[in-house]
Amino acid sequence: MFFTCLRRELRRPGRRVLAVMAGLALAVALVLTTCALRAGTQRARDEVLRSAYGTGTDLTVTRAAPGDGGAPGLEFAARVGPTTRDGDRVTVRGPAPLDASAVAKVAAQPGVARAAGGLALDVTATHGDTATHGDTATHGDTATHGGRATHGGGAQLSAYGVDVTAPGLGPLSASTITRGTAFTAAQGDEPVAVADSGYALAHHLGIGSSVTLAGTAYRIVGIATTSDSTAPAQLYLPLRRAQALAGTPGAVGTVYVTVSQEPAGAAGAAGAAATASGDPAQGVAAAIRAALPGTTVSTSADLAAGVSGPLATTYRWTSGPGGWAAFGVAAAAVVAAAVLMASAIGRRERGYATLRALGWGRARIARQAVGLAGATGLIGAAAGLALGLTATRLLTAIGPTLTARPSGSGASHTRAGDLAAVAGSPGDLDGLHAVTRGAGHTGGRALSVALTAPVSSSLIALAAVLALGAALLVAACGAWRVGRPRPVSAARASARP
Amino acid sequence: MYRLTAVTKRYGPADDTVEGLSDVTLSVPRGGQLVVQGPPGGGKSTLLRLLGGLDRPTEGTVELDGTDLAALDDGTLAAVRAEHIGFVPRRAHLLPALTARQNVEAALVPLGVRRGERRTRAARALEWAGLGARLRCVPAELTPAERQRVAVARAVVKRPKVLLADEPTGGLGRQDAAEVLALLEAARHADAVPEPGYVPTLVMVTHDSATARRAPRLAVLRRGRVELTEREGGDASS
Repeated sequence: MFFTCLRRELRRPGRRVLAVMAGLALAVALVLTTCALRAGTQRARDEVLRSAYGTGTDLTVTRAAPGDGGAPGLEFAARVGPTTRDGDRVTVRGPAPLDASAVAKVAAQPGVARAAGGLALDVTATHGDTATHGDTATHGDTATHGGRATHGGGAQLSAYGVDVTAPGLGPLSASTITRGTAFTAAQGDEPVAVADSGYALAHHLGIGSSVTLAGTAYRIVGIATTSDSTAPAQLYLPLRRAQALAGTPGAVGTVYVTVSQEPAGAAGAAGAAATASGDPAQGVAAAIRAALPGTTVSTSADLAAGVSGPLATTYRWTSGPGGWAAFGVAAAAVVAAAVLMASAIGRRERGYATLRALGWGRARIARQAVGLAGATGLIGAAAGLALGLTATRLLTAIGPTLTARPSGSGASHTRAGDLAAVAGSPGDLDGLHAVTRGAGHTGGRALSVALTAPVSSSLIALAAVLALGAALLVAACGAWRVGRPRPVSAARASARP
Repeated sequence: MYRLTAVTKRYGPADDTVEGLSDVTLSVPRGGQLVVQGPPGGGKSTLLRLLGGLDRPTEGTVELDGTDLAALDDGTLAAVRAEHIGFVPRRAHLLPALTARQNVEAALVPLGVRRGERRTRAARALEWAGLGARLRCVPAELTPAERQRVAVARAVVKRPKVLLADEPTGGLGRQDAAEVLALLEAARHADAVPEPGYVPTLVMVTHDSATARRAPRLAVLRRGRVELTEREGGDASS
């Protein structure tokens, strides 16, 4: 009879029961969607950061911009370059680079596991026969790269000098070598390059092809692909070759640091205080600041906080007031559902009084009421799960694009520009107009990231627990309500006309 | 048999009590019939609740076949109601989500009757009540008179010792009221009830004067006090 009553009740639910289901569905769907959106914006932000700074980077060290908190009295070097040679103008991107000793000094700080320098360059063709893509090589038995694409005057190429002795640290670590090989430690002085896959596709470059920069042909040894639409640079060179290209031997624009998981040891008073805060990166950052005055040391948190644009706004909104508002609405919906359920049970008081008059025990009646409330809650929660999953899938399918602008000197580059160049004629790099470039240290470049709403198993588990909790709360309210009437009031309810 | 001895029922806080019943003593023999009348607030419903074990007297005892209902715990009292007492409330009070047959079945659930037997007995009781074709109708699809007949079938299906009817014809038209009263009357004749040999005691609150005139025992309740009229035998007293 329990299931008969339940089935019949749920087959024709009253308005209150429907409202309870709708309230719980709203609550669960809202929490699920908000959490997924939050995870999606966090993931998008991480992608932006990874594109800009690479993986494994806990800290970046750059020369402080004037007025950016440098040591008092420190003279800042003038911006380097541009250097013009053999028809190419080479410009070091970002503020004045750090000198050759910076990497060693950073690496010597307690708590630093690894440190590597990087140098971002812009290579601009000043007339029509530079930055030339060669046709020379075949790789194995495949892919002969033909044609001789010549950049017109004014075409730009973003290049990045990477420390070949520190693989896995720096911008190139954001990419996967999908063809060829990465740099080896022995290639520090060789004229070799790794091309971003978008750039390679746009200019028909393959393994063994060459790109001529400032009169030197760089042989492509690898093709790098990023998992998203942004790439740190179009071409990666060994750091020493990049320094030579820019005419700044030993200079690095950014030092990438991985913090050791071991205790940092003595890192000065500031470092000790920062370490005491629980984040070892803060302690190491303080030590580096003390050792290298006039530098800007950014932690992952700083880098994340420095991301601006619609993506950052969305992230702040979903993590802050928007998220709390959604949770608040969800909590209110659950409470309202519980109150409505109590009301719905209250409206069945006469029916329950009749059952008592028929000899049904209190426990059996309570079981019936709790069963109804619990089933209502479960149906509402299940509907909420389905609704939330549908919403997140829809959001992921639509994939609205958000732009973000990371701070600092990290390089990045949208592949859309490279791919657009495919449509252009050989020798014409107009497609690269879509490549977005930052002008300086603080003005990062805008990156486009598709927003997703990933639903992990842990999120589903969380939503299920919430759904179950809400259903139990509703059932408890039902139990409380049905437990309230004394036999006499039940009888009165039964006797009421 | 029912025996009420010096029963008083008070409501409300100690400093502001209202007496629903005041020192009522009466008895109804097994298989007998008692009709209760009186003005609103006279204590009719209170009397019925005490007889049905839905409430406990403030003073005095209510005995059913020698068992003091007031002395039983809630669970035992529920079992007594399930097995021995059939209620016919005013306006039926059927469970709106259940069909007519399921409403009747509900009376057999606390007795532990198996589902198949419940269905059979409920269908038989409804056929007896003239509703054999309406087994699958929900209350909203039934007329008020049909709903009341379902209530009678629900009260009778478990073959209780006692039928308590609280204004069972309230709100019904004359013809419908007559049919419901005839059904209740029929329930007390061995040759007409669902189970042969079964003759329950009937206590009925009604405003129907014709029924009151025919009743062998008439109890008129005013301000909680009972005036008893006996037309046969001498088994009731006030």
